Amino acid sequence: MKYISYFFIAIASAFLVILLSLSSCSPNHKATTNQPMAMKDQPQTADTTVKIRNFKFEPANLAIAVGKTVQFINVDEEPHTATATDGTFNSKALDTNQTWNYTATKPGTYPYICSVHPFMKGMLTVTNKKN
Amino acid sequence: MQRRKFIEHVGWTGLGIVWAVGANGLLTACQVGEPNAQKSSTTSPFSFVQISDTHIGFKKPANEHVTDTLQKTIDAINALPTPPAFVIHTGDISHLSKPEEFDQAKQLLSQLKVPLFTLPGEHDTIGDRGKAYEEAFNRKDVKEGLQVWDQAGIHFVSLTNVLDFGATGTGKLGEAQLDLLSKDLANQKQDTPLVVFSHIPLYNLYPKWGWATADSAKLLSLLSPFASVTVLTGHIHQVIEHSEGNIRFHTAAATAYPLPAPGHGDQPAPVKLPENNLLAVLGFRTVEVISGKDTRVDQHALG
Repeated sequence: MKYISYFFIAIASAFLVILLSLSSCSPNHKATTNQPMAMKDQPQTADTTVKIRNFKFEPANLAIAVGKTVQFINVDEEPHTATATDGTFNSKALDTNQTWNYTATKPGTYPYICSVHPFMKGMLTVTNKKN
Repeated sequence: MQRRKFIEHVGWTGLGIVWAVGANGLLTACQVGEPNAQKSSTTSPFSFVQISDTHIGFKKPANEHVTDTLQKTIDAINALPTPPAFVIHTGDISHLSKPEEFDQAKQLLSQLKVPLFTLPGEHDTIGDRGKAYEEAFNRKDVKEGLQVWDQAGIHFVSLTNVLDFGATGTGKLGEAQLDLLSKDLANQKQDTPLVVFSHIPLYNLYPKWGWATADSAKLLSLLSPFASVTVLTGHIHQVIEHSEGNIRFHTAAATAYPLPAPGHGDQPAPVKLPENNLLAVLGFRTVEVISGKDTRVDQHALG
């Protein structure tokens, strides 16, 4: 009988140790998965922003140098796009508070519209790096 | 005040309004007391239904249940006393051109008991000029955006005007599509009734908001020799009637949400109405062929 009770105590203590280690593990586990998610949430670096508000691009005229990135952010309830009329760039559909980054590759003037509300107009001017 | 004006403007619901094409090919409007009253005078074997602007994927306050309002529409069409020959959807099936939106729209619309024709709106062509849309809805016999067919002595013309845009953001048909149509219409007798579909209105309804088609003048010159032309479009989420010569224009109600009357407010943004008022401005329309080229257009509200 004595041996059997020792046996039970051994099993119970082993169980307790496992439980404790599990519960102490789980917050650690969470913390490790949280880190890469926080990294992902960080927006790509943009040099300047065009806000889409009240069916308007703000600012409507923007100049950036080659290699620089402009971020379009839609703060309207309605979806919008930033679509170059010559096809150079075309954002996906931007729903409320969605963003889209465009990195300029070639100097020139690029008139663009919202393809959902094509009366909305903007102009992106891409300058040489030297300027 | 603006909202009241808006409701008055689109206050076509409640009693049905019927337009009949008389012997001169012109539409005349008459009131129909009860939905059943018109049934008794109808021996028509041929009718079709237009639905528009279902915006599957839209979840904003103006209508958080666009699948429910589409379902109501489908149920009402399936319950029509005279089954229509077909249903045509005049664009903006989806809200953001997402594959899952096209899938859901297709699943819902597959409940229709009659064939479905579709044409794209600018919400269906975001990012890829309508490639995903064309694949989802399998529009094989469309060339340059144009689809034509004949049924019950009527020549049907379905046009695409959402891929390119005019200077003020109006829709555009493009030379290639207009040339194809010109050849097609050259083979038609001028007393053949024409029914023309597109998404964006095909006359200068309100160019400031893009509610017009940049090259519509050329289209109208192709249509004007015909004795009876009915043009059914979507895009503006409200019923507006207009005529130029023998051409009658009807814009359609949406099944998703209303937009303001032209120039009411700063932008064509969705209008939030109380639930009951919402259903009254959503719906579909039937077009019946009574005899020969006599047709009539009837609005059906959801509530």
